[in-house]
Amino acid sequence: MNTAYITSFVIGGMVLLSILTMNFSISQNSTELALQRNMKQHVNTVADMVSHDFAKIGYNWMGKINNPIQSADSNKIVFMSNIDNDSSNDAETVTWTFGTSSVSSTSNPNDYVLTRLIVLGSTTINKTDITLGVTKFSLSYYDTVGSTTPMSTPVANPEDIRQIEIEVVLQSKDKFKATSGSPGRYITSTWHKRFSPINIQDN
Amino acid sequence: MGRALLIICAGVFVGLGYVSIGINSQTRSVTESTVSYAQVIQARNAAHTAIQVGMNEMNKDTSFANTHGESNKWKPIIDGDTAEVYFDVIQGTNGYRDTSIVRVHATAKSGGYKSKVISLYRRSNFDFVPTFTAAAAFATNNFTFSMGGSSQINGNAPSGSDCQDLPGIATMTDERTDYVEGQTSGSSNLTGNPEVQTDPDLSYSPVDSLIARLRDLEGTQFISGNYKGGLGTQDEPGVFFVEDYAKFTGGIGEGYGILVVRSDADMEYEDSDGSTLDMAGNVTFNGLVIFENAYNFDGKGTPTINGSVLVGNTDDYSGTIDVDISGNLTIQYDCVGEEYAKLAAARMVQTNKYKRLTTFEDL
Repeated sequence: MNTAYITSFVIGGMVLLSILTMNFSISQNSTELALQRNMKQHVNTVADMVSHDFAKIGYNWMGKINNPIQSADSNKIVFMSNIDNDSSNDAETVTWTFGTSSVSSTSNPNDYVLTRLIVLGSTTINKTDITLGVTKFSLSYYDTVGSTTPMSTPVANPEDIRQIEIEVVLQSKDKFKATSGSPGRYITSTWHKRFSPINIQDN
Repeated sequence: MGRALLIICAGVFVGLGYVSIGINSQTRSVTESTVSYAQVIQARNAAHTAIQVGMNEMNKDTSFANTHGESNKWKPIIDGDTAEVYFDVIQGTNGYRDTSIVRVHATAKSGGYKSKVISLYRRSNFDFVPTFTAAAAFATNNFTFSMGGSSQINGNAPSGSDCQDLPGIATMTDERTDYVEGQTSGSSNLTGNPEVQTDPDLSYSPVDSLIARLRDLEGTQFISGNYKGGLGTQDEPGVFFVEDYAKFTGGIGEGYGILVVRSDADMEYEDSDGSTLDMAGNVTFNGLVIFENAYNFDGKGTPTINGSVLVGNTDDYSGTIDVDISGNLTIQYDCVGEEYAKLAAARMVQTNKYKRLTTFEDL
């Protein structure tokens, strides 16, 4: 066989192997990126829901609600808001709770049910169980804007709250394994925000 | 060999091209996500700004809110983004002295994202005019006082009015009160609850700022010489300054608002110099009459002031103000006159205060 052909095949084979390795690596990265993007979308969904509600704390049609935050703990908050902007001036009670029961439909043992409950009077208007892989839903409260010292929870005087800091961590339902032999890891996405609900600020 | 390598290289380039396209699309996806968040925030900020700008327009033009309802939205451009604002006046008529409640709806668009903000505001005007504390209030200690003829000072509320009885004369110190009481002892022409009272809170300091501000405003009228013009109406009370000799020569039935008789701080005030207001005939002025650094008031006819008279001096004036209430002058306290004075100031200053009652943010 011609030496030139043999050399070409060897070089070509090495290049092909390199490309295949790179392709595999990129494929893994793409999968991880896709999972991250998926988690990002999930965390955005939760963030949108939280932002929708928290921005309206204390809102009512004809004026602010006095002392709208009824209870405030590190994993649960209950507040009043005319969440649907109803002109009848009826304010709903909104509860966000991070539960202690793990989501059974996933293999991830760290995710729990995050519940959003809206009640008007004694009627439940809406109850949403969020099972998008929430592994952390942490609430911190501050009595002055810009304070670096959070109030101790559960907050004894919720009427003093001026800012609410929230940290949400979501993990993928299943582990991502880079190689078949690796232990794998859950893809994590975090959202962190400090709210200054406009209707609980001093004018 | 050359041909085979060329084929391999071409294959490598094609493969790398695909990889590059894939990576670029993922990067773009992440960037778009960041941009969308920025645009949402930008839209919300634009909506809030549109409300602020709209309120400024409302402040300048009392009919602005009424003419920009939902069917005729106002569409400002906020930092390159479009916004739509409309007003819903749900209480009051948005007049100068009217406390009204206005719901302001703003929707702003940035990129492909919209944000809606609704704020409810209570609008009221600043009360620059001090609350009446007596029929005649002396916010200075540098004055002499005499009262004679058929002149009258009455701090009691006019019959049939909703006003509260006030002192006939208020001074800043007990010493000045004793002095005025000594000057009016036994006079039945001074009445009030009580006739003379010390008011330690009486001060001229905010009033001098008001006068300085009113003097420079468009719409303030300066009266001098023989004057036959108008002195405001009930609906549109005015602000009038007398800084030189002025005489109401008749034909003026009633006046409304704020009448300031002042001696220029740069002039040396003497009895026969400075500002002199001669109210001949049967002129009735409803509102607040302020004598600043001067009291030259010649009431030869039967002039009446329904409201209050305030005498004071600016910080840079050290002279004595000689107050001689004589002739047929009547000073009758009237809370309605206080409203005319406040309306006159509000019309001139056109500055309102807004209290945000609540805000709805729909992100």
